[in-house]
Amino acid sequence: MTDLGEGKSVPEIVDHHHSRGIKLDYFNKQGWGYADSGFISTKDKQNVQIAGNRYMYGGETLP
Amino acid sequence: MQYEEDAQADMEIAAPVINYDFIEELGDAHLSRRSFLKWERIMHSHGATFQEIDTLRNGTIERPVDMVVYPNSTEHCERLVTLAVKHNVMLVCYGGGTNVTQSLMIYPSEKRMVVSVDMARMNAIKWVDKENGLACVQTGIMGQDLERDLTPYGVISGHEPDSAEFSTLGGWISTRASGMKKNTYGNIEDIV
Repeated sequence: MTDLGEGKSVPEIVDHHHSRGIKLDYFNKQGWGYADSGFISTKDKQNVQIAGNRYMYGGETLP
Repeated sequence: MQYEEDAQADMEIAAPVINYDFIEELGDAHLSRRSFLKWERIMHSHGATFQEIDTLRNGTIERPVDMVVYPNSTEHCERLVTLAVKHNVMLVCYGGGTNVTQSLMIYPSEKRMVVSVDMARMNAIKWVDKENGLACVQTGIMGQDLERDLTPYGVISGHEPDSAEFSTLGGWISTRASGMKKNTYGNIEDIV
């Protein structure tokens, strides 16, 4: 609940079309792009892997 | 990329400024969604400049929006504007949040309740008139969705900014956007 003062409050969220979702469901909240996408360097720092499956080479390791 | 230092785990922001009369008269029935969720408020309070991304990772947004609403019809929007004027509430339209012009930054000195109006749930193509090169499209549609949904009509929008994956038609118009097809089709003000 969100406090409105004077002892009154309202629900923090009201959503009549929950199935439509919001940007926060899929977006990187601290940067750019999808939350499940990104580049991950391997431990030896010789290769890069693309995280997620939204793009053509998602999940693959690139030299 | 994996950074040497991870982003901060969370961000503390100020409690929302509440205009009780506005919220009471607005109610919940004439909106698709209404939220005070902290990270939803944060997401609607920044664009994509280096300064703003750095703040997300390391700092705090000094003046976030206080509430986020999602209209679902033109009538919802008209009612929002009418009540905002009546109760002295500031409305900020939100498209994709990809601007690099600090368009979504609120002055720290702003004392009014600030409401972000996310147009994401008004994202339909109403009609296409191929013969006259016209289309009626709701402003919340993202660039990639617009191009995909125009394909069956055999037309394109003629506008393709780098941010088209996430930016919206309404955002293009409100920030007077330009794109890679500008030399042929013009900037967004030439297309609308």
